[in-house]
Amino acid sequence: MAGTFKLRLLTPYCSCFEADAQGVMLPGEQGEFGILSNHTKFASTLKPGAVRIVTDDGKTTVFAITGGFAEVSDMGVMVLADSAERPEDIDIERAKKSKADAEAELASIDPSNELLKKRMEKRIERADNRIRLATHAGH
Amino acid sequence: MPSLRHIRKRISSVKNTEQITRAMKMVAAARFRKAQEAVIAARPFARGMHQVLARVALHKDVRDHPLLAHREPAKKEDLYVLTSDRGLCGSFNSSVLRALEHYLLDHYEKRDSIRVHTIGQKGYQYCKKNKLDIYENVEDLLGSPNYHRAMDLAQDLSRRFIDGEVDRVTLLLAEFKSAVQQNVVFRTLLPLDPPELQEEDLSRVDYLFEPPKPEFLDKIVHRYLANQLFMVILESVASEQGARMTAMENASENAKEMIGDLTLQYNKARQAAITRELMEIVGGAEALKSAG
Repeated sequence: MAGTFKLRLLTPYCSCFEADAQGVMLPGEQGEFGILSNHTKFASTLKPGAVRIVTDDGKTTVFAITGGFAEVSDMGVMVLADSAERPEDIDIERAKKSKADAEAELASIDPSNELLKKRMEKRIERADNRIRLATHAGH
Repeated sequence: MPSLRHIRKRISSVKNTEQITRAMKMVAAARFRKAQEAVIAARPFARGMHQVLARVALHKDVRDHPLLAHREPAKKEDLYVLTSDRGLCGSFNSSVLRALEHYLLDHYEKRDSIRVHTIGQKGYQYCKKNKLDIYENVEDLLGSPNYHRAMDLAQDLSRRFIDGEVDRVTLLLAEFKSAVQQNVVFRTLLPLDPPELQEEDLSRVDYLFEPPKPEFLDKIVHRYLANQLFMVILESVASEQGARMTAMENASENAKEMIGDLTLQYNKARQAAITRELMEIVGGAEALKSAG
């Protein structure tokens, strides 16, 4: 049987998951990666995507996150996400609306304003991720 | 002595006021609980952020990060004043704004290098009314504190700081002590203070970084800043609701006391009227008797 490690998924709004896990898949900014126990010390930034946790009883739990970072140390894995929610809790209509709003705003802003443009693109990316995961969860 | 009708009118008006303040207290109490829960829920994340940064801060690169650079003397300063969007919260706003006035007076000779930013409508209105220069009013941050909004604001701040547009960013807020006590404090947001190393964090770890270290550190430092800002906003909102709850509680108590006083006055006036009427009747009867 695979070993387990302590996994914590924290956001500024709640601590979403805090238990032993067999493994976790994380959406690294440079590609998705998986962590099992006894992983080497590692730190990575995360992009919007899915965190898939294999809990110590072998079940899989999924969270949609909107970016953040993860730290793997001898104290376990700590995922610090900007926000996280269960795909089944995602309000698809709201996500779609937020995407449409961001797209409308992107179209209306001054194209030379790089900062604002990037911000809107990020918002669209976050909304896309939520829509994708929520659809997948079988809404 | 005011007439009976007059007193009765006042009693009913004070009663109405009491009902309103009592209702507002209930609402403030519910919001206060929510704000407090938000602060508590945000703590593990803040602590985690702190720990990770403290651990990677063992690397010299973090201490050399531009957001940590102290530039002395700090010439240009951005001051963010946190007040509330709504009033009726006792001395919450006035004590913050008084501190702002004092601060501006104390630094009068370098007034051109201090830019005031307001977060919260009350501070904005006050500054406008009193002809204080506001550089920017940040809106819609307090209603439901949002981490992504805090991140955007933090991004603006760090860009200004790194570009040398400002040398220091200070926050002025009412720190949360308890529902009845808020302390007005100035806190330096930028340059960032690197987190203190604690014993438990000292397990020397050499990390693999992805993306490469400088880029990773840059991202985590920015998020650390955003989180500090977010926590401050949550704290100010909790202070506001606590102050409002206490203010409304006091107002309800005062109204109750006033109703008691007025009722006493009313009864006295009524008694006096009855006595006078009796005297008149007795006097009239006496007069009839002596006449007969």
